[in-house]
Amino acid sequence: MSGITGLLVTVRSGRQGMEMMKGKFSDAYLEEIASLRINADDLAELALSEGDHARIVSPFGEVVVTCHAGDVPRGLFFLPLGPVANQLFSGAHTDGTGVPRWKRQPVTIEPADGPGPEPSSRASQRG
Amino acid sequence: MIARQQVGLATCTLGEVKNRADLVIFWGCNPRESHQRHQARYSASVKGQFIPEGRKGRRIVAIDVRPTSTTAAADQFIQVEPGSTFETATLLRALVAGKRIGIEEDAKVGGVPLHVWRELAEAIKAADYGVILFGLGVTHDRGHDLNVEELGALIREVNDYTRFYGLPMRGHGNVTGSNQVMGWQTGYPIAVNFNRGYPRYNPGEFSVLGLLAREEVDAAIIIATDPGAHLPGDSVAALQAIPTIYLEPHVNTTTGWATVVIPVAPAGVAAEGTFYRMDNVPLRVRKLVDSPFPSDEEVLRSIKETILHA
Repeated sequence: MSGITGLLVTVRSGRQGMEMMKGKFSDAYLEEIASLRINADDLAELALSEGDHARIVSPFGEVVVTCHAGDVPRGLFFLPLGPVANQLFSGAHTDGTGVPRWKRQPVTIEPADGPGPEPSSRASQRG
Repeated sequence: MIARQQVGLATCTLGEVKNRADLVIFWGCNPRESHQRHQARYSASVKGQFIPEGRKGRRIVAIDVRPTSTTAAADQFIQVEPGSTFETATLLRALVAGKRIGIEEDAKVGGVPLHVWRELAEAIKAADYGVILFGLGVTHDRGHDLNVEELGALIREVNDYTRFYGLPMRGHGNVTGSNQVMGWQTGYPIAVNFNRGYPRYNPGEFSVLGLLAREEVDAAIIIATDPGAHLPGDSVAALQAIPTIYLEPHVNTTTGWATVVIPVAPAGVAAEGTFYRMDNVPLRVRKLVDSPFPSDEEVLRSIKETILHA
């Protein structure tokens, strides 16, 4: 099926902050930074359920995340800051400020079969 | 930073927030998740010299695009549309100044009825000591620094009626310190370029992301940050394509690909120094434990002396 469009908003989560301090290769950190908070009606429109995987596509990259229904507005998708979300932004587009629009990235979300590669393995492939 | 150079910012310390603020507005931030001790130590439940009742003595307003644990714990939650900071701050400036607003009271601005903004403007003017604590929801959305400029103008104008201040909710340890030190050494707080032998300043052009995007950097020394986890994917790829020297005490998402990793003593734990808190207050931090590794300062001094005597 086709996807839905909206704005990706990167956020701090308490769990992301705590697990980051313990280590950025822990299962808990990698799980949290790939956890998307999305409106339940948006999730239903994608024919997805709690815990299903979705692919987020921006003009600069794409990632696969795990969906969690949350009390958030329709059309706004919330993903914790980290190496997963970072793939959807570009350092070349900062409106002349040196900082991307971390709170306002237009994206498309569509169902995905399974989790994507871990961000650490993507980084080592590039290196 | 850019906004402060345009309109300034009437600001205060966290100690003043704790001891004096009877109106606290959290705008585009969620300290219950991002700064987890902030409300208990400075801005909500803590008892202050002139706020002896603590939480009961403060009116707390949260402005955000979604419900959070911070908005749930506030006296009032104003749920705005994304990208509306400039518009709503401009409206508040007009309401505080008593200007006529040519729309109905139920008409919405930023997704919120005008009468809600009018009530907030009255609460701001009625406070003895108000403060807006603003976060990345203000600075990293459409408008960037212009949003902060408008908030800064609002805060300045409210001081015609009562004491009112703004304080950015800075993240990352000692990020304020780098602004302070570059400020007193070069006159510029961020995005300083020395490649002509003297400091030049231009955010965007000389910011890390801009330099990497245009491939103007052919080597990098990285200190006290983890670009692998914090920069956009294409910026990380640009760093991975050039030689990098990385000073870092922990294994993280950059240590795996940096050309040279120099382990250093963790600042404030195994190395002493001065740390700037988010409200620009410098705090001396002592060394608590010994480390087999040198401090950042010792490594940089060693590299500099080696180059000078090469």
